[in-house]
Amino acid sequence: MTTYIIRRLVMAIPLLIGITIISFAIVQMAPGDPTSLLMDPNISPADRAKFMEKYGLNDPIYIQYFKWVGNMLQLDFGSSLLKKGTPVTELIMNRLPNTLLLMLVSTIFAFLISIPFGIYSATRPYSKTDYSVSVISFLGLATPNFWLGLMLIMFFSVKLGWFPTGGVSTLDAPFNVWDRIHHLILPAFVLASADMATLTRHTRSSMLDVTKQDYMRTARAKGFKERTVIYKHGLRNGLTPIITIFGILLPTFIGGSVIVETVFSWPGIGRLFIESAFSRDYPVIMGLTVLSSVFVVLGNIIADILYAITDPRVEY
Amino acid sequence: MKLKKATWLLLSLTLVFSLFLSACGTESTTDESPETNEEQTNEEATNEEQASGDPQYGGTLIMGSIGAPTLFNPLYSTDTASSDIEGLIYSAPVSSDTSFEVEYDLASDIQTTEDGLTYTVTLRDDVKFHDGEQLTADDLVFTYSIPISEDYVGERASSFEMIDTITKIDEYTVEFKLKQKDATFLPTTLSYEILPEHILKDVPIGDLGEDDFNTKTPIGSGPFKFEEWKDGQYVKVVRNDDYFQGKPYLDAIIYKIVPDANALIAQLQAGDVDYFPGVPGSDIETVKEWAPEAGVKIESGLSLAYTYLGYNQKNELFQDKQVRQALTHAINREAIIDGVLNGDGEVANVPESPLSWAYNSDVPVFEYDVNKAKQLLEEAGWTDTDGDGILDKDGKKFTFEIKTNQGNKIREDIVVVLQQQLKEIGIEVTPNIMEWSAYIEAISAPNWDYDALVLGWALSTFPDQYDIFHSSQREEGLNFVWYSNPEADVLIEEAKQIIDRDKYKQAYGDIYKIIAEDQPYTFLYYPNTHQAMPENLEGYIFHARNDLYRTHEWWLKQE
Repeated sequence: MTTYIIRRLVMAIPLLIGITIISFAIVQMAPGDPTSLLMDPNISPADRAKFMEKYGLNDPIYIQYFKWVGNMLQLDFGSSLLKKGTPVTELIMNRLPNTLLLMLVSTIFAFLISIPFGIYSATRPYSKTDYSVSVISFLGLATPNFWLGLMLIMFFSVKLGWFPTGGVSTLDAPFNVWDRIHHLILPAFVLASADMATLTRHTRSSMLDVTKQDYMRTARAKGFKERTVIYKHGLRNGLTPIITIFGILLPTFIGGSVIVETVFSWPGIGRLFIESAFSRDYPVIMGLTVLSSVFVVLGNIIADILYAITDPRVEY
Repeated sequence: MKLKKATWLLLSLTLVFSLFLSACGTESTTDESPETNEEQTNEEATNEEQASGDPQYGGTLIMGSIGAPTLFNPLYSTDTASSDIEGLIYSAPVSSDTSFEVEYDLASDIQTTEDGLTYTVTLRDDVKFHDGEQLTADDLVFTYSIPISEDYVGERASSFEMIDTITKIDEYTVEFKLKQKDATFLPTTLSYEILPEHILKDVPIGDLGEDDFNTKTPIGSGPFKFEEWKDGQYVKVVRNDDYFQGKPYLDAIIYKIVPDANALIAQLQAGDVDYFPGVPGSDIETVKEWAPEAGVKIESGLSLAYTYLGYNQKNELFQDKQVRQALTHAINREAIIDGVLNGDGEVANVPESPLSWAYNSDVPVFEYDVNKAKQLLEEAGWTDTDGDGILDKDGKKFTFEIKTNQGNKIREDIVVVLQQQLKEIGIEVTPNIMEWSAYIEAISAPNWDYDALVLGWALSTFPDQYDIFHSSQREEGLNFVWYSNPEADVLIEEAKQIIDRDKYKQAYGDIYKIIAEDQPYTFLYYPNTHQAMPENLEGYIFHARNDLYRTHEWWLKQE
């Protein structure tokens, strides 16, 4: 398996190069430039031109790209144009832990809630419970995250005062694990909500397939308890497609977190992404693009490893 | 094989967990600030037992902001959030009071020669930087020499370009020689805050914009000291006991970043934000409903800004002044204020706020009058010859596009209302709502790719219309509507040379008359601003331009 993983990683390199070229071009082609935000009578066109010159933004795109790649290979992602002089890596590293934490917790939420529900529905297909789970899933899928987030804030934070309104921790307070968890619950739930729906539906259909298989009947015929049949014989086979979903979901958490991070004032990279996109802060956008591409590649590799673990037939 | 798989599972788990742990690790180290929490400070304050009505020390004010700051150096930052915080950390020779008159801050005296070319600025001799160093003439000379240097890379050079030489006369006196008379020097240029020479003198000017001083250790002479900036979360400043205008009452101000306006209002209601100076007009009625319950009071006033409909005068449609006047007649601005803004604004007729000392309402006004509009358009040759309901002239229909930026709900709605209103006089309008950067690129030099646009200007405390309405600013500057009137040009140039405030006001009265007559824009309205704050906040003064005005006098009344 080690050689397989190394091969996968090597194969990812041309992919990453392709991604950087395309995103660099798209980012540069987007109308406007970092000086668009400087619509101020006190800032003269000459000052703006000087800015563009200083940061090499007037060079042809390919020159800018090669400069950027050259620096990146030395792990230098440049510095933010907006927060002058702040290295991109510092900006990202300040925010990344927050996003990873949110992602991790919401993934756990999503799996913990949706897999049992999916199995439950699958074992009682077309029952009232199954229909209710379906309806709730579709509602979860259809509810916009920002709306759900605001509603939860209004109800649980403002009305009931059970949860904080936002942020990662109480302002200006010493580190406290409970405080951190307290701040995590609402945003992680909102981030998980849409995926919960997807996962529940997938678990249900995949388990439904499995329950019709011969080996399930055999297991039952052998006289195993229904529990054992479902969880031992069924679940392991039924989970394989879910792992694929996990591989796909991993990078989408970054995208999905944009809205949740904004509504819950969560200082993560989703927000950094959108802030830098609006201000055309090219180095930060590119740094984040590389990061999320790496996430996509890693997510898929991890999914493949998990295949091998859950499915004895898969070998690398 | 089994073992191997188990190992891989373990490895991927450790990977995930190490990420998690490192996440906690970094957070806990940065969170470790041995700060007194609010309870303690409240106790201290009550212990002091002050007579009611007298200012009390203590308390932390949490201010909410949608925008996030970028860096804390007035010569390099360009956004409101950064300048808000700079106002707390630094101080400048002059600032402006609530009616935008110059008031001395660091300066104790400013003398001008008869010809208006030499300014002698005397600084107070009792001002210390936060690190204890005395603020002297050297710091002023140092700071103001940066933007006039060849090596300076920043956006503020044009505010300093009239300066010829800066000379230190003695420990607290500096003499400025100007290249030409410039009315903006005293109110605008001298309002730039002073940086500490003793800390920054060895940094090459070219690198100053990127120096760590700006983001990690800014040191000034303002009422509050920089303590901590957590990117994307908050900036904390604490009281400067040695502040030269008097020790501030508040222990600290936390500038909290909440990027979503709805979430910010929820935080205000829940008490997680104390002070939010930008409550949107669309939400103010709801906020007022729960305000007493949440311990919030609201101060409202006109904001120093106006919103307008600008006509691209490169476009043949809008080159005739009479057509522009007709358009203004056809637009019901009262209805826009009532319908879109919930009555939360005032009709504008000039590019100057009624709050300003330079405001002059004695200008031609084009009231809402559909018949007058039709008549003027007919005189200009626009009639509906083919009976399709749309005016035409020489076979060309009167149709155009109005662009505005996405994300500003009010502007988006205004464009739709304009579309309906103009339809009534037979003009077809297509709204086009664009992402901000793309919008700015489209409308400004050298593209001018628009017919008409809805945009707003925030006004400066000192009125100067050169950048926006002088014809020299068409090719590159902010006169992107291509307005040109030689008479106005001359008057604007002349006004720049007038140092006397009353004469300046008079000169601008004439300029506004010409601009209002020409209608390069249809001036739509002056918006209101609503500032929500704790009920027990005392000493607060409403300032349309400065949400953190005289913060050293703010105090929280304790029960």
